[in-house]
Amino acid sequence: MRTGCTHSRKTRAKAAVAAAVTAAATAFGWASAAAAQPAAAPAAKAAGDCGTGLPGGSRATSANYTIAWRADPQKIPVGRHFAVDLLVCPKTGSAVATAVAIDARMPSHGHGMNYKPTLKPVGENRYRAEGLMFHMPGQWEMVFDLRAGDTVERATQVMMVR
Amino acid sequence: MPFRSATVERLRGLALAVALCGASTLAAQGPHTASAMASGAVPAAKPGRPPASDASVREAILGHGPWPPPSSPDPSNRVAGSAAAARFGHKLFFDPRLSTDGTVACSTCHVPEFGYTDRRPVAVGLAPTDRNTKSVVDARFNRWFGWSGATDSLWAASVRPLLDPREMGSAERHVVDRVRREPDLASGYRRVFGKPADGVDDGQLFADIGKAMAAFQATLVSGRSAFDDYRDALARGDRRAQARYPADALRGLQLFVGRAQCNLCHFGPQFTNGEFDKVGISVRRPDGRIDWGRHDGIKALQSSRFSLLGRFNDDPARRTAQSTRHVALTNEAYGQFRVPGLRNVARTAPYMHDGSLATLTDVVRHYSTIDAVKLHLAMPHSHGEPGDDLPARPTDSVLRTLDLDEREIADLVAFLESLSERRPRR
Ligand code: HEC
Ligand code: HEC
Repeated sequence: MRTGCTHSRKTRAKAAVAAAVTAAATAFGWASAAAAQPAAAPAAKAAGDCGTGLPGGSRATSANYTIAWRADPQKIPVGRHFAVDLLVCPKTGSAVATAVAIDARMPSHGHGMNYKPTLKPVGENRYRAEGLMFHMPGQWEMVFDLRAGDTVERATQVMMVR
Repeated sequence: MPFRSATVERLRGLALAVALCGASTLAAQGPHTASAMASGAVPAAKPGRPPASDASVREAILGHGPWPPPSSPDPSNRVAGSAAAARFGHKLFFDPRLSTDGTVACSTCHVPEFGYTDRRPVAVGLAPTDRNTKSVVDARFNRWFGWSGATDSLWAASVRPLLDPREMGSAERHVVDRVRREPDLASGYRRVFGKPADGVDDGQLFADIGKAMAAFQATLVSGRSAFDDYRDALARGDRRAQARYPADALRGLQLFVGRAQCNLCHFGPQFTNGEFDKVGISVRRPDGRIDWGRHDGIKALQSSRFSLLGRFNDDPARRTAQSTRHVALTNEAYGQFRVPGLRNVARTAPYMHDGSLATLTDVVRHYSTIDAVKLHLAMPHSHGEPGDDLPARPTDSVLRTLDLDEREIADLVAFLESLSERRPRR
């Protein structure tokens, strides 16, 4: 996935890059959903939610966001669908993310998932993604894209699945 | 928890991304570079698979059981699990009256004595088809059906051959007329579905015929194999019982879950992850046309009236429709075929979607010598002409040249043979 090389540097990107991410998102079957809340939620409180929000889950971070996420079921089964609950928290002073996308891939095999997850907002900073599937055992990378205004940044997390 | 700390992961993610950029730069130089990379490459250095420890080998072996796995009747089929439906479905399965000229039944190709296949490279109904007949044993556990996953339920897979001009060549009209007019079929229908076939619309009646046949095929579950006995003995730490498993099969099993990495795709109790891949079998048909496999399968699925998203799904909650709802039509799907389950595989020769490999030894030799050139030659690729619908570049594969020696080849075959049921459960 060539575009991944640029975006995985976790720097804030300009509108042009944001557009590229969106294009890649469509090409690679990404799902995104607009957040349901206004862009001025109290950031500090939200970041606090990420600290305690999803017991037993994990956390990925990018420059401006913390993403608490938890797979459902918690132990991701190979070759079966699973869902992911997300809590996206801006770090203090950062803008609230207005769109979120989720995808996953196997970096060492150069392929992604065979399914396009759907993501819907389910509360303040909260999302639920459905329809993911890891169809091989091995190392998978979960990829979260966060958009605020015309900037997009990416957080990734690698895990072993067996 | 399989997860490490976020910071470490972020660094690793970055390292991987850089590695990936390197790889795609190389790949961009063309197939020659790619083949140089694949031949002789050893999986040991791959980040996806750390060298196998005893514990991870044991875990991988245990993952191929228990057998049979728990399962419940298909909620999309209101007569699934009904004994009366299975009896009626059994009758229909062996009945040539559903074909256009009364000469072909399901059992023409799915022959019980041959493991519900036909021993031919490609199936022959009213005319030769392009694909090898799949067994219907254990099909109840599938997520997708057929080599390209063109159907998403056992009942939809069961009505598909009725309409294929080279299989049974019928029309929906012909099938429903038969069931309404032939007294034994009409009374069979009424007994199973609780109403006369005359009072049901054509589409519904046609789907119901598939559902009765599905109820029968769902009873076909393979029996336990020598491998299952070994696997369960391993699970309970019974060394005496483990020792009964032949030494060559055991070495083959260790290769299967170890160096050969067969279980990346042939995963779990059915020895399939239920998904699609390419293993270097040509997509060209004998007549020169191309079988695009999964890509065509998804398109057929998405335009079918009989998919789980359509009105014939009997489950109002559509619990089993998740895969259909989320499936992605990607470029990678071109030329992919469903990873076959391997239970009873020794009984269902010849092999692969086109039946091009005659024996299990041929299959293992194929994997042993596979390389990027073979993978590349199996797939035509676009040179970028406008409007060209072909995939733009060869996609990556997890397969590596294995260079197995003769004993290793025999061991893998012995392992595959140990997956045959001792006694049918049927
Ligand atoms: C002409 C030979 C032929 C006939 C007749 C035939 N089939 Fe098949 N069957 C096949 C082939 C070939 C495949 C693989 C098809 C594909 O890949 O699209 C298959 C696949 C299937 C599958 C999917 C199995 C799996 O695991 O994916 C089912 C179920 C099935 N057939 C049921 C039936 C039923 C029920 C009938 C009768 C109504 C029938 N077949 C008639 C040749 C035949
Ligand atoms: C990348 C995924 C993948 C890996 C790894 C893999 N296979 Fe396969 N296997 C497939 C697919 C896909 C097919 C069907 C290909 C086709 O028909 O074009 C297949 C077909 C087969 C068949 C034929 C079954 C039949 O019913 O026709 C056998 C046997 C088999 N594989 C054994 C093995 C062994 C042994 C290994 C390890 C050396 C292995 N496979 C590794 C995906 C894989």
